[in-house]
Amino acid sequence: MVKQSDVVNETLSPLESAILEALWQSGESKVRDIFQKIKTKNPCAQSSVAVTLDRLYERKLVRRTITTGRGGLAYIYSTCLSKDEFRKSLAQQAVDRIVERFGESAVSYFNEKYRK
Amino acid sequence: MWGMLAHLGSALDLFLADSTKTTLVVAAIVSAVTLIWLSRNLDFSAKIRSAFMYAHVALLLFPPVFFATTLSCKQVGLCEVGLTQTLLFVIPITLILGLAFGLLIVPLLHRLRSQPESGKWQRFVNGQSDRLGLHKAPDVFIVDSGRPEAFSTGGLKPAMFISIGMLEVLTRRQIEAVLLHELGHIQEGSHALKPITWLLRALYPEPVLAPAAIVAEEERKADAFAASVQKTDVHLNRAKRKMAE
Ligand SMILES: [Zn+2]
Repeated sequence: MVKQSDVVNETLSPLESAILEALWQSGESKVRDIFQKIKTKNPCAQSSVAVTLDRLYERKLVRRTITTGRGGLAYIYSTCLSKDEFRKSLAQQAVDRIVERFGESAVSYFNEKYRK
Repeated sequence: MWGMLAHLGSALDLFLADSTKTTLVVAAIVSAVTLIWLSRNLDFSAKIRSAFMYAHVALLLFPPVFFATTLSCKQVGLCEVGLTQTLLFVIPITLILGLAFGLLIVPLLHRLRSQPESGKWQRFVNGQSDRLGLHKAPDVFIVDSGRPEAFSTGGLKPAMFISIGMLEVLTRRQIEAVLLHELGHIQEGSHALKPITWLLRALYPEPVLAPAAIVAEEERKADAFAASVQKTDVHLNRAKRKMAE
């Protein structure tokens, strides 16, 4: 049986899921804050966090706004989906892929297995 | 087709039989070879070396273009003369357009995709340019990207581009080191060298031009410039290590 947290890890690198977890916990954050939060468990450079966040932004998993604070220009990142929404969309994608590949037999299997 | 080649052959014979024309062509080729040989000498500044390379290409293009201008209908046959001339003119025009694209259009596209920075980094670059006696300071632009990156362009007005990702991960001194490195490139004239090196790299085997050595030399000079202004290379090296991670 697959644990729920494993679903998130399946399509994300360890650093990507650590960053998303940090964002789900703290809400809007700057690169520096996220780096401070995850660096003990995930030893990495701050620039890796910046690059990874940029990639998550391109994949539309996070959104960002530009701020001109005291420390100069920076992005404020937040997640596009809540953790539950994210898991649900991953599960949907997985099921869609199975149905696409196995067609009728997958549908009837799901019906049998999960009939109330 | 063979008929046309035979016509061209006899036109070429006629062209080469004219001693003035032959002398001009030989002189152009000899000068072209001399210039490319001189441009390999890294003691010359990038501005001079790139001038040599552009002149080298112009001199190489001279013989075929000169030959094309001497073609007339009588020699090649009425319908083929236009075609041959077009073919001989198309190569130089393509090269010139390619170089113009690299020198002028690419910098313009970068400008259009970025936001001008008018805060402390522009002020820093203005101050440093003043100190160097550059008559116009390069414009500083912000690139909307989370990846730490920095580069600069030449063209009609030099510009420096720094990403938000870079501002996020570097300290103030490290950002200044990066800006000074780019200012070093602009002052040195590295940007004129880039498209011509790229073109000649496609024309010649590696040992003729040694493009890797040219690029390495420009980076070394830009680094040395930044280190001499900051009186240390610590910030630049830290910045480079961070940006490579
Ligand atoms: Zn450089």
